[in-house]
Amino acid sequence: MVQNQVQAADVAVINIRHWPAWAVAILYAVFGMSLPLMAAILPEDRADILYHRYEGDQVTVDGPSILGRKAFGKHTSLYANYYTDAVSSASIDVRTYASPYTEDRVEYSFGADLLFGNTTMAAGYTNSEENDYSSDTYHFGIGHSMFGDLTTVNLGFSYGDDEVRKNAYDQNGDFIGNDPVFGAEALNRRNYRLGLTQILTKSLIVNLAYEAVSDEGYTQNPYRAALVVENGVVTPTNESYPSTRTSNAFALRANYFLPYRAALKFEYKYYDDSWDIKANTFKIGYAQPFGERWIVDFHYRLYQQGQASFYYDLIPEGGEQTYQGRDKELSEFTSQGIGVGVSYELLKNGWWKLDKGSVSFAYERKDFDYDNFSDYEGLVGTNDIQGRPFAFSADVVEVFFSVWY
Amino acid sequence: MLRIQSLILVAVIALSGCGIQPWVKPYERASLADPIMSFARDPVAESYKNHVHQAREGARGAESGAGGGCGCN
Repeated sequence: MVQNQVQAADVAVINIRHWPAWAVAILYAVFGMSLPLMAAILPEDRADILYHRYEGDQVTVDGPSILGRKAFGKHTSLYANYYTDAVSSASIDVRTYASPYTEDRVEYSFGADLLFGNTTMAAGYTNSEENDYSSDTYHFGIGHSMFGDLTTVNLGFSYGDDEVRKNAYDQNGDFIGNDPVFGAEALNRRNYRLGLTQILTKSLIVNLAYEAVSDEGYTQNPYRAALVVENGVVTPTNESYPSTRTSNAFALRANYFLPYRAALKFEYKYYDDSWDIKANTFKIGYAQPFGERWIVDFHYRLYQQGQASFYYDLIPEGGEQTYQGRDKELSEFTSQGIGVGVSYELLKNGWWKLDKGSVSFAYERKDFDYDNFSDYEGLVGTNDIQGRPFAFSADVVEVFFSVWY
Repeated sequence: MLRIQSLILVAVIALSGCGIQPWVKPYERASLADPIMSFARDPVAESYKNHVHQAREGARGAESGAGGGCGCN
């Protein structure tokens, strides 16, 4: 119902866009608040079925994601999402000091958005389960449109309650349950979000976002090891991470509408945290429709980060520290991604109870280049302390089918 | 004294802000309402992309789609 109103309103806007300004002004004066762009709205009623696949560094992660959303009445919209990751990993960590493994992660989310005038409220819950990790997250948010809907402000809070376990395997490498000696460790997460979206001109819209994340508890990975030189030999040793981590991320995004119907998109994000990681992300994108059915997107993304204060590629002889870790995500590295997406609109005139549909394909090639994370595969237990430079490429594929109703 | 004057100035600006007239009229926002201008056109795909980055990068938070709301469609 709400969706139908929105679509009807969109049509009205598109139809009047070439009218003389005086005629539009009269139309607006007569119809006033009934015009579409004057109030916060609920998200669209739509359903998506997505297949995703990531392949890189001898790791394959794939699976489906199914997302459905439906409005009930004029004030309520409900959604549900089912998502899985099927992981098959022989990553650099695994190759250095462990055995390849496979595992599944299953995630369910559901929630509601409520609309009251120019204010929207949201609440949601997400559960994620692996055989060695359980996570429950509760989300809350509120948004308000003001100044004739030129400005939208959003506030959000999430609370996460995680349990970390360690798997035990038999001599054949088969999973036999959780390690009773390790037991279970807790990790609590809190996210605080603030967002502001501002219409600057009739072709330019910007978004400012800030998010603080605070973790407390078991922040490390129970399987990973650090490497230390012991009696001249490269030797695995325990990682030890601080039990708290607090981070800040600021993002600026701008979308500009080009006169021939195309969109130019820019994004910059600055990040720092209490582990001394600092990161910058730049992204530029371009969306170009062809005819009434095709949309083609291109993007380039650059991510650069500095290392955590307790990151060590190889701890020198006698140099073990209170906090030490060798996760490559804590090292200094650069990641670049270049992507293309194609979307084709189906059922342009609707069918049965469906307003329209689309089928989409997206591909991104990513390159990760590590400045101070080295490849020690085959060197653990030897006196060869010079690791090899490490870099890898990954392919990310998404195929999805969407319907609006 | 300077602090009080500053507070009054801020209060005046804030209160007068309530009377700000939209300089981009609703009927001028057709381009902004075009789906290609969305910050997160396909939520299911956007969510997956964020997940790919979160799993492989140290940074986290303020992903696209967060703090969204465009007030334009």
